[in-house]
Amino acid sequence: MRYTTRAGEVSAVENVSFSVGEGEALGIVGESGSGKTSIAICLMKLLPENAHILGGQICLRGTDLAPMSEEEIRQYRWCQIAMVFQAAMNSLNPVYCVGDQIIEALQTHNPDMNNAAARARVVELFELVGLDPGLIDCYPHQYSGGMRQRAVIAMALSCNPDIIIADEPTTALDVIVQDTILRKMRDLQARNQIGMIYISHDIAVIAEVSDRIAIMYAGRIMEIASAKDIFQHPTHPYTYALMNAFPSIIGKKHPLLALPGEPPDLLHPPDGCRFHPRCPHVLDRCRREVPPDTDYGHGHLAACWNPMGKPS
Amino acid sequence: MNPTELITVTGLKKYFPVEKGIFRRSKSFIHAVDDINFSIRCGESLNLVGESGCGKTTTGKLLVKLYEPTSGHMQLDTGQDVLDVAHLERGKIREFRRKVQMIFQDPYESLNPRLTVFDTIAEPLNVQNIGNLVEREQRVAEMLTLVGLAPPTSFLFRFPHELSGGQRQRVAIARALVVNPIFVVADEPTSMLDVSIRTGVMNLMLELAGRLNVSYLYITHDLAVARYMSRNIAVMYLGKIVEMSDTEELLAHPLHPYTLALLSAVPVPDPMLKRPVAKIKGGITAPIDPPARCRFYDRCPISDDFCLTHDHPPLEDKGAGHLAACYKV
Amino acid sequence: MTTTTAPISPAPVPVPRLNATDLLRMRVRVTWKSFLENWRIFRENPIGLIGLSIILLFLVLAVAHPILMATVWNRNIYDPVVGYDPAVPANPAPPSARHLLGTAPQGQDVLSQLMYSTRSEFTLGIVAALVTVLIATSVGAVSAYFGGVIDTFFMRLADLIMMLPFISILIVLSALFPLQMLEFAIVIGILFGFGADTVVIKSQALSIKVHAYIEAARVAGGNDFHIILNHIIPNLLPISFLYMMFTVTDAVFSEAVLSFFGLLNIRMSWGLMIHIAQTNGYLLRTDTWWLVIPGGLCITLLCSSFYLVGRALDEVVNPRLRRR
Repeated sequence: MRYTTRAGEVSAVENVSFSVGEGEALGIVGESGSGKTSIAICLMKLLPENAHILGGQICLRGTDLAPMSEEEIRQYRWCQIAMVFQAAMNSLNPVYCVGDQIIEALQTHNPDMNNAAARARVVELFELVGLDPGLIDCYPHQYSGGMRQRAVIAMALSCNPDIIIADEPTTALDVIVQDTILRKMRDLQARNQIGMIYISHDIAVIAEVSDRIAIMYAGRIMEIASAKDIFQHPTHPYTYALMNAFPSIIGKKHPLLALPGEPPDLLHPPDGCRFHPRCPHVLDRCRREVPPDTDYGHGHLAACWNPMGKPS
Repeated sequence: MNPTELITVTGLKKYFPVEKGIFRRSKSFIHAVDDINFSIRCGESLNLVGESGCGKTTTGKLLVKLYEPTSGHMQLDTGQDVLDVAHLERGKIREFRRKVQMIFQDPYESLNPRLTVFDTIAEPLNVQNIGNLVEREQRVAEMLTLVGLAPPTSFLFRFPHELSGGQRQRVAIARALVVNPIFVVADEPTSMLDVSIRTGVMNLMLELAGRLNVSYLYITHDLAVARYMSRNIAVMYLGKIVEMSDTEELLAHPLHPYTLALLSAVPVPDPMLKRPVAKIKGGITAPIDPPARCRFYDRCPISDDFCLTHDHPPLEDKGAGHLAACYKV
Repeated sequence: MTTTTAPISPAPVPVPRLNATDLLRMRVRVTWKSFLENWRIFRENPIGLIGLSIILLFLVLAVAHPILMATVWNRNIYDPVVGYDPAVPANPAPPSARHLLGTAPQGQDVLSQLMYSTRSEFTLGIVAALVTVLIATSVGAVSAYFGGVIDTFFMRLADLIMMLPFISILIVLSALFPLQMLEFAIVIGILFGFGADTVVIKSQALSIKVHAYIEAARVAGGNDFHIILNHIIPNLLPISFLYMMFTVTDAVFSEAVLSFFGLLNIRMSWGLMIHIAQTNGYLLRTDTWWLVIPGGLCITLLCSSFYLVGRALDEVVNPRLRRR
């Protein structure tokens, strides 16, 4: 997917492939500018005017969403694929009660649902996410940060989607609230067998909630594997650098690795492997040719000419 | 290393009135910082950790005189002089501003978008009339090289919008250090940066602390980052310090139930590890006219009648310099 | 009083020696570059270019008049106030080869009147705009920064000025003291400066005040004056400049209205031309269109051109352009 800007074309998502099974949780880790939010808006087809999907498929239960028009995709949005946006505070309209907003979402996608039924469903949803049903008629500003996040999750769950995309769902929250929300989300996912795509820059959060993890850099997936494999056998140098750049409160205190340079300008991305200007393992080949995804077994793929160490 | 106390804070309080309209005098106050005591020695730093609303940013701003305390004392030992920060005479304020500086959280907000990098870093020098133009330019170039923005000539006249977040934060660090301070309050300097950039800035700050003999008060909500920045740590909750000790000691053997809850809530980058559920109930409230008992009583898993009927527990040494404010440990 | 700082690090940091002229040159280059960048953004909007072209056209007229008077035109015939052409049988005369826009009821050449007035209209606009911006920016910045009683006072003053009908105040003032162009410009400047513009600029100053760089400046040692002068006001200038454009529009229009009523003590202006037409009974007649249409058109065009430039400038000034 590319953005057309005044300065040129920004290649935000380049040749990204992944799959999410029923009830599976995929975590996408990337820094700012890696394309992770762009993927989210592609999947929901919530593209701004200057963004264009140039190729590829988005298959939801076998149906390709990519070429669909706005009317067609509306049948799928929210009913089968829902999203929890970054900065959830901003996706709640401050002039309407939270309950009314969820009822509106419900009735838009289920036109034959009457008010009473919709309200009952909202009560059900609130209980599901751990919110006091008495808050249904309150305004967003009367909610705390954690409560708003739960309200937005309730909204995403309202039409029983098959898959939910959560874009930085807990970034603005305090640690203890974050912990509660993440546990709740994991619990809901397991109980209702909903597919989840978590997007975050925080590798610790992703480690805890995901079954599989994809590491993105500059619009491409650098490595994708099960959560365990990513942490125990990081193959791509970028993955390895991320692991070692993250401080942890447990275990021994290891010296932190700093990556030189800056994430690339996607107007003029580097040739070959997009990570090569910052890679400590760079070969001449990396500068010229884009590395293909090498399969290391068990669904572990890494795109690198000179990987760190072959996983066992 | 001279073991004298660089900064000593005793009984520091800052209350904010709850707005009640123009003509009605406010009767309730937010106890943002409520009677805290700590000290930092020369050559050492202190982590100040806590969630939002605990008062850590307010403490930082009190120490740089952006706020005036409601009561309490802060003492700064500059080597030549001992300054009472809260009640500085006019002549001493300038000296204070040279000795104490601050690094702000948001690299996009803390630089004036209309000033070039040179103007921003030179501002403290200009305002305090340090050096003539040539000397200032030389000094700014030195600082740019020191923070890793080399060659300095290519950065001098850039505007903030031409720099990345990490670069802007380096400029902010250069600005804080340009007057040779002895104490710097760093308010979450890396929380808005990308991970791969964050470590670079953290390492830079650590290196400069050693090289320039600067002490930090490192304010953060991220315990994992705090672990790397300083050997000493203090945990704040609703305006009070609830635990204070050596960082590794706190992470290994936390005493206060809030610290325990906080540590068990931190996500760990290991998918195989199953964290225990944090033992804490309820949510954070604003400390408006709090009752005299322990602030953590409502949420504490081990509180009892004793905690209810007695005042907020004092911060006491529970052994080997590990201080905690709890009756139950 | 200067002091030199001691060397900061044990190992000397190798830095190339910079001299003052190099730095000055770099600074000039940077300022020029940002001007060009703003110009490029401005240029992309056709509205701004249209407005700017019209203004340039008027500038040409204003400059051309004294040249024409000194060279081609006979002073006695073409003087805008007292000219009279004996060759013309009856005044007002329709457009002809000698008088491209005809003559006024007393025999003056209409084109000459038009061009002569352009100069005073520009003066009026610019003086009014400058006075407004000066007052509004300082008052807005000080109110926002200090708040409290100062803020309340200035905002209530602004409310008072905005409440009162603008044109009526001007009419009353000029009836009491027949104003000349410059005095009129200053009066308008003061009224706008303490009125609506100050409220807008103050709210912008409030949004500047909460940025962290203001706190950083205070920590660096800056006092209130330094912060207002070096941080708040420079960030206000783009929006002040923008509102200057709108002030010119209002000033020119107000002058036209007052001159139409004959309340201003000025030699010649577009409004006055229409006033003369009216007092001589030629206002609503279609066969003497050259007495009214050119003047009216000029007023409209000049006002609109500044307004268009202001709208295009809005894009340059709007912080959405500040890239992250």
